[in-house]
Amino acid sequence: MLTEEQFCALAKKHMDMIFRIAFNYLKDRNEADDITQNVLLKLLDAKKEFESDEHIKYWLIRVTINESKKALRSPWRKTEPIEDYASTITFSAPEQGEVFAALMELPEKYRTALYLYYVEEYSSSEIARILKMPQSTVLSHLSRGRELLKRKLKEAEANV
Amino acid sequence: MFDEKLIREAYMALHASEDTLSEVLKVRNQRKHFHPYRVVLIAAVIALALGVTAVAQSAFMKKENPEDMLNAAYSETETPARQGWVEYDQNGQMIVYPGWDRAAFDPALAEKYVTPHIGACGESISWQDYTITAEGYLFDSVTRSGIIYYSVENLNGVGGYYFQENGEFSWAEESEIACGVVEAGRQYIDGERSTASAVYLSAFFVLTEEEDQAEITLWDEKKQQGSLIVELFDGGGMAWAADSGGTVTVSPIGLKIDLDYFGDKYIANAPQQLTLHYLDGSSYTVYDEDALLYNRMYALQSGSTLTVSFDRIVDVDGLSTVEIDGMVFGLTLKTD
Repeated sequence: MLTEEQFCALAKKHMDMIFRIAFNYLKDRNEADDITQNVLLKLLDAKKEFESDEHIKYWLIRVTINESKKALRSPWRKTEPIEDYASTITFSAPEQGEVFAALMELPEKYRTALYLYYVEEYSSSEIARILKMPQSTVLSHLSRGRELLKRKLKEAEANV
Repeated sequence: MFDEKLIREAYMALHASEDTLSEVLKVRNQRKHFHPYRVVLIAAVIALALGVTAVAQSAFMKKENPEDMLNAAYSETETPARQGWVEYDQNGQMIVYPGWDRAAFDPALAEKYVTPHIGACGESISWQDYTITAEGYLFDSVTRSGIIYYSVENLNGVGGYYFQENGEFSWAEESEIACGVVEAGRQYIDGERSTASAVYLSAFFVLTEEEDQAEITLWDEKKQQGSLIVELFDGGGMAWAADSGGTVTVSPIGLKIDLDYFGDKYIANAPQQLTLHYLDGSSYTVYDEDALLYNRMYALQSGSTLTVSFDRIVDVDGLSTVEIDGMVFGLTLKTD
């Protein structure tokens, strides 16, 4: 069991990652915040012995994905328009906001693969283990996700 | 302009609420003072709340023959009809208990439309001390979705899981192993068949157009995993109906909707009401959020495709239209 000090250090280190993964699935700030809290509570209650930082991170990602999928399937979920949230985010360059908007239009499975690959810097085989799917499927999701993202950004550029 | 670095930067601008850590610690401290009786009450409410979403999902279990399986899944035999209702907990949070009608089971319709699509596979793999066996499945090649029924067995015992009153199954976080079906929703336990050394489960899954196999995976906390691939056959083609634009596709046991057709309308929420109308003037409300009516087994949204499985067998030959939040789409029987 973690001490409060150990827990706080881990929470500070990983809570943005948890939020981003949950947001990737749910596209709703409040739900993503709720899931971040739930996942951290599970970490606080976890009785297991973690072998390494990498093991903790892997466990947190798995629990976040499970919680997000569970929330996603609730028949009575209500979400805020994503534009409302996007308008509150501070991007350091306008292009980042454009990429964010395009990412949020992608199917969830492509978004998740792209997030784990580019932001968390997992390899395709590691993503396959995390998402419990064949590596070939991950490679296909990455490839299609990139392609679709490029197309959406081109379309957005053409519409300006 | 596409730049991989921008993906990272865009995501790095997202942050959890500043209150997250203090909220977690506050909840944890409050919990320390809970009386055990209070904890039991909360657990009971959660189980009931989850129960209402399950309806007949847990009923697709292996029986003596296909007709018994379909009768259990698609009739009121195991899940009688009930009205929906709303309650409020002591924090003022609304808890919705959806209702559902049930339809009479028609063995002739089941035989005509669904029985050919039940596969009794029996394939298995051994991994560590465990054996995963795919016992059977029902695959809807029209909506590319299905329900698979499988078992996980270990002669030394299978533990580390829990389930709700309605059969909804979960592995405990501290469990040494876990299993699931790729691209699947919740899993349900077959309590009648499960024993200390074997657990029998069913799960609903949705495949893409390119995929024609389901994958059951068992893994441990060290990231090692074993997978059983189940090849799915389409049973010789399933009857289906669709509108002229291909927005809605209906099979005898489910439908899928291309939400892209509606532009931004369903970016945040799925449709609130879905009804099938028949040529004879009758109708089947698949679900109606306002009426708390959920005559469906599952609903899964993947990207812009919403897939819904019915809680009854639909005669697609007799369909006239489908109504989605008041918008009506004419349906035509397809023969290919």
